[in-house]
Amino acid sequence: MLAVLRTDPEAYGMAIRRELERVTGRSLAIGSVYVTLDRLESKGLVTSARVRRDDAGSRRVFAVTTAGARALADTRAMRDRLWRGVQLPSRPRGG
Amino acid sequence: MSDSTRSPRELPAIAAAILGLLLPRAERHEVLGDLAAEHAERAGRDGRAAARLWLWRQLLGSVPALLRRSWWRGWTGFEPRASRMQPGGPMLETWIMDLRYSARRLARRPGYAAAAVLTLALGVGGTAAIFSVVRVLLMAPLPVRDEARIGVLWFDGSWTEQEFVELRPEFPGFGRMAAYRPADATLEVPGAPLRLVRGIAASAELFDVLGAGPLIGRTFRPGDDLPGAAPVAVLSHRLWQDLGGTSAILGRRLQLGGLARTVVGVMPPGFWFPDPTIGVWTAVPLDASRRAGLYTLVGRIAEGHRLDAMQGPADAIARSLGERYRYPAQWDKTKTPAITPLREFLVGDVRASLLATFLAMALILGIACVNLAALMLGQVGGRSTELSVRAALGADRRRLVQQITIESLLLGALAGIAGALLAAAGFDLLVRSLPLGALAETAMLDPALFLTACGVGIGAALLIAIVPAVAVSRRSLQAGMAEARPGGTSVRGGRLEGALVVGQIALAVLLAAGAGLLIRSVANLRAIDPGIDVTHVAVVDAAMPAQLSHDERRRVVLDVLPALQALPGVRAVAAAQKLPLRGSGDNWGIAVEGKPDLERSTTAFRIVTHDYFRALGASVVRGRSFEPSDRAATERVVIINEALASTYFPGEDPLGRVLHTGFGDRGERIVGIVQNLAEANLTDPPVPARYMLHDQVPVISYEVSFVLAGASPEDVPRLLHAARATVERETTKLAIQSTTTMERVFDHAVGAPGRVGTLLTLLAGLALLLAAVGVYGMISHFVSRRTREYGIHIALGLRPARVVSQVVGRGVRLAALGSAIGVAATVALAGSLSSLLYGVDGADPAALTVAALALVAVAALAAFVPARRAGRTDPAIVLRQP
Repeated sequence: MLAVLRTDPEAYGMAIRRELERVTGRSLAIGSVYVTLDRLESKGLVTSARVRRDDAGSRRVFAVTTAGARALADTRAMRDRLWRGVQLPSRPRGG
Repeated sequence: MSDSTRSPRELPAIAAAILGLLLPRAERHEVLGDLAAEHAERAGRDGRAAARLWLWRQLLGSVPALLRRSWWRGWTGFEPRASRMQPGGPMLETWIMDLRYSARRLARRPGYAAAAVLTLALGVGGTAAIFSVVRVLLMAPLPVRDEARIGVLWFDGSWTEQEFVELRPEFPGFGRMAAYRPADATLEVPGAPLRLVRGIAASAELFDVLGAGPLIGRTFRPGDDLPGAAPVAVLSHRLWQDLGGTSAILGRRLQLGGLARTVVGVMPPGFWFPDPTIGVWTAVPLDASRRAGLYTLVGRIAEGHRLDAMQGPADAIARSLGERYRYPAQWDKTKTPAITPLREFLVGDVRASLLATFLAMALILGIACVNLAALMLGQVGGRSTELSVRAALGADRRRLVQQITIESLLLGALAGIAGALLAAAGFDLLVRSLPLGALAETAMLDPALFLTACGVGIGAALLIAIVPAVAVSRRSLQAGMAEARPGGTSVRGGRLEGALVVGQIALAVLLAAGAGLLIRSVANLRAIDPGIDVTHVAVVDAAMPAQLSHDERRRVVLDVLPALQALPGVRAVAAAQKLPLRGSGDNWGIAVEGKPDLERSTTAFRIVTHDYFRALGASVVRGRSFEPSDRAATERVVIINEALASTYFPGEDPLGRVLHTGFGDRGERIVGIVQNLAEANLTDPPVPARYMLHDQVPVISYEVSFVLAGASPEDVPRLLHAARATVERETTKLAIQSTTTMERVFDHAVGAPGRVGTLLTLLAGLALLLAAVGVYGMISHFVSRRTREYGIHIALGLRPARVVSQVVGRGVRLAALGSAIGVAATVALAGSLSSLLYGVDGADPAALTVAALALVAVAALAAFVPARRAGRTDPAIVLRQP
């Protein structure tokens, strides 16, 4: 969902895949991206619309819905709460 | 993003095709375009090979995910907002949607679904089960090499050692020839009770002729069958397993038939000859002077000859025999020379029964298919509004047909699974109720059965789908909407449904008529009087080690009798070397004193104990039966049957005359005449037979059957148990082979028609039921579509009784047409049953009429229920409906 936001307004499948690859440094198959986006859309966290392009055809472009934004904010808040007061050891144990 | 405008055609064609199959139409162009763009970009940056590698990684990583997505979208029906104006997922997705829709439709009507699956499963399971037997026995290769080059000589079971040994160097047309005969043997294993092993005694060529090699050790070698050669035995895989299944068996000496035989080899699993119950093959020392006719000759034909053109060589063998020997007319081997192909010889007897049962099962499957097709057609009719609306909203016909096909396939798959379970559960029952004899051992439940069942189920489903699919693609959409409009009275004639009912009735008549023919045959067979009381008699078949001397064998038999006689409820006990109704055989030469001109001949010869006729309930019509005073030391006496009296003493009194069997100069005096017993097969005309006492005959067979007559038929099962226990307690020299009843012996003699008849009768009952369901479904659908029409007719003054008779009349007319077709088909196909029929013609009017009338009556009854509903239509209610 963050990748959708980061690529907005050009959030179509391939762009999202590229963004994820760029940020995570891991290669990703386009098929898995679509599966995830479908699931998110069925849950109402993102929505898709078909955007005509001048050159040719159209694109399914994704946008985060209000519910999606709230979910993102909730997750972030939750994580922040969990991090609060956590001290990482200076050297990883058993390292 | 000008690079994204590149055509997807720049992608490798395979990659584009795979992704194209898995992507929804709306996203296909976009994704392929983007992939092509990035592919091109990477090719420019990192080189073509790296770009291609990347592309294939993308593809392989995407396929599982996209498959998952198709499944998920199909199952949940999820359609993204963006695709609203461009619907249509990959094909898989629509299949899954249809599957889900079908599953929901079926779940909503569990009665319909269960009935559909069950009827189809019965047909599928039955067909698959019988097919797996047919496959093993009639289609799979026999466990020999190149079976098409092996033939069996005529007069099987009647060749002598002399004939074989003298002709052995030269059998015209054959490369090698082997002789064999049944030789069941007792097996003595220390610490275990004496057991009887089914065996074959053969000349050394047997395994060479069959082209069968051992699993371990060796088979026979030339010389193993010479007089004086060390006795050797080859074991079946199963017997070897019973004896431990280690290679230490080779060289071990087994006490077989009282003789120590060295085990030289073990045959591989799956090998059988001439039937799967055989546990041991022994090499028999052949003696050219022995003239007992017991052998079957089987040969591998020589190069340059063909099995279907062996009449010439057979005639040459016959000529050669004619030059060497003189035969009595009854046993003239020169008359009908013929070579039977090995397969025909081994499984020919069961073919008719198997094919008849297979046909019957296939008919049930056919009826079930037609039934289901009619049901689905009714469903299509009932959904005409839905289908028309769907079509009007843009569903193309292909999609509607696909939905029907998927529903049918779902039913077929369920029926396949249920059928496989049914087949597995009923397999043993089916095999036992088929007249397979020893060959039943080859029929085994295997995984192929499940595949067959599922395959048959799916195949049937596709067939079933054709009818409603044709109906859907033919119907005009406007007409569909018009029909759907309430108030219309014009409905299509339901001709397709009518045709289905006609077909179904025809198939059911075919099955019922077949069953009827067999029932009549069985009734004719059962009406034959075998001359003995079959209801009161228990039978114990046993064998002794063949090495016992004849005196010892006699003593073993006579010693056991008093203990059996002492069992409570026993009226009479006797022993015999061969019982009636167990086929011909044990024919011994006969000469009549005072008739030197009599042609040399044989009659059935039975060695019995004193109470034999009393135990079997056979009556001595003249003279006397055996008496306690007839002992070893007294004059030899013989009792003959009426057939022997009329054949050898026409117009004379045989009592007091003397017969010669070759037991001494004095011969045997005839003291009584007994009624004809069925000494051969049930359907054979009475054969001349004579009976002598154990005490007075020097030759005693190592096989013996005890018969115990109980006071009432209810005593028989208890007697069987007690007799077995008594024999085992009294002696260690008798191996009990089986215990049975004379009634079962009789049933066995009735044979294939009896067993197949029972099966077919059950199946015919099922067919009647299915046909009734079919007619009921069709007529009630017919009626429900015409309710309004009937309402109007009744309002206009038509009497309800007329409505009922009209509707029933429609059912009866269809049934009559179907019956006529079925009767014609029966007459055409009766040939396949002919070998199972007895005393009844394939076109037997009684069986055909009863079958046809039964179906018409069932159809009338089935039509009556919905007809009555039609007659009760209340015009006021119907006409008030909007």
